[in-house]
Amino acid sequence: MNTTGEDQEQHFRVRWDHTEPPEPADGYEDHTEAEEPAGPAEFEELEEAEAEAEEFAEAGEPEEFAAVPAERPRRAPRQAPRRAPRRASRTRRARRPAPRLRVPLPRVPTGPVAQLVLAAVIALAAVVLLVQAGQQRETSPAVNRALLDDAATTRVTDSVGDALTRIFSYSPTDTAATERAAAEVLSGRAAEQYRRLFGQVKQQAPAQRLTLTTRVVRTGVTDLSADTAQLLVFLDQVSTRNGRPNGTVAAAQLSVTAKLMDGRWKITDLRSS
Amino acid sequence: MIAIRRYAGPVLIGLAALLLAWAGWSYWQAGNSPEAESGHDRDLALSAGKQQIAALNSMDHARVDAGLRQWLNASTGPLHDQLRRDSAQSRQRILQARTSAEGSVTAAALTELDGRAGTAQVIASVEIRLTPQAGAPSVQRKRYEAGLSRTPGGWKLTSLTAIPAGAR
Repeated sequence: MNTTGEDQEQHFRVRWDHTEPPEPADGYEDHTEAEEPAGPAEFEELEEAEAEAEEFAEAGEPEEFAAVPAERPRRAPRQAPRRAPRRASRTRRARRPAPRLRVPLPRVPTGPVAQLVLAAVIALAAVVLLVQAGQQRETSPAVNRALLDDAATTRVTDSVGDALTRIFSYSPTDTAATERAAAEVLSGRAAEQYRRLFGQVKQQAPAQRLTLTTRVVRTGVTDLSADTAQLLVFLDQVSTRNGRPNGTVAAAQLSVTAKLMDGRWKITDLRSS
Repeated sequence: MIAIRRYAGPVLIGLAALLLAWAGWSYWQAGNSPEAESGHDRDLALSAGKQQIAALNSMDHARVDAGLRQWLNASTGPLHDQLRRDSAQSRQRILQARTSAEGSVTAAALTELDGRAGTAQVIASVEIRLTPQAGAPSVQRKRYEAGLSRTPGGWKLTSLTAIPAGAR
């Protein structure tokens, strides 16, 4: 009569230890490598534009100091000496004092279209950089808040530790409390798994006065975002039958996935590690 | 009207240049924030911890010297000193046992990280495959807690303690 009970009870405990093949919990390593910064290709365009700008600036230099520079054709000063040398020399003489009176502008292209193009190219380069920065931020190791945000890390550690202690502890007279706790702290796949296993325990526990006490030994958070967390938890479990210790203390290692739902951390997956 | 025509271009270019400067700063920040650095440090500590705990649970009894060298390479500080002190003894024990061990970490997590001090604590679940020279191989499971310390050669173990069931 006791043997079936023992089987069932062992089954419950052991299943949590061995239902799933161990999996290396290194999924989050995807985040560790930062993205390559923008290659030189992205900047080639900009360099070209700058070269172009310089060329314009040189070509247009004499105009800078002319009376109405924007209205003049760009090539005029160069062509002028050939066609009308006298007029050109007059212009040169007249122009000479002007540079000292004006605040010299930076050497930018003078044609309005060229200036627009240059501004657009610079703006485009800025946008490319911003997009890159955004991508880098997304893949930054700081996205994982585990141990960087101490308060949040402690909160999820405490919540999950408390949840595991409650759902893996029961006394023959109070399996209902354990079940209520499970409904509160479990969700998704973990909730389903637990319901299946605890159904058997519920039947056996009162008849054989079974108790299970679970204690959290160590907890480490491997991944933490605003609403998802991955933890590794070491547990010790002690069971008694008819008030006497039932075997030795069992060690369990669980990989836990938790999600923040309505402001509370709920366990959505449990796997033996 | 002439003034607008004259200055519109340079002003636009100036604005674009300002935007570019801001984008550059933002890009630099994304890669060099102290948070990103700490996060990177944490990830390095964990992966080093995993590797080194596995190394300290592995030994090829046919290549004891290489194995012992790996143990020393994986450790620093007190653990390193202890391993060095005990190396003759360990060597003898391994040669007598004629059993090879191959440890693999099935799960690990940092429990503490002090980036400024360069110390961390890691817990790890380890599966050890034991292969005696004669006889069937077996698999052992162990839980460990280990201390890590940042060295010029990367994060290394300063302590390694098994956490058996029922341990406080």
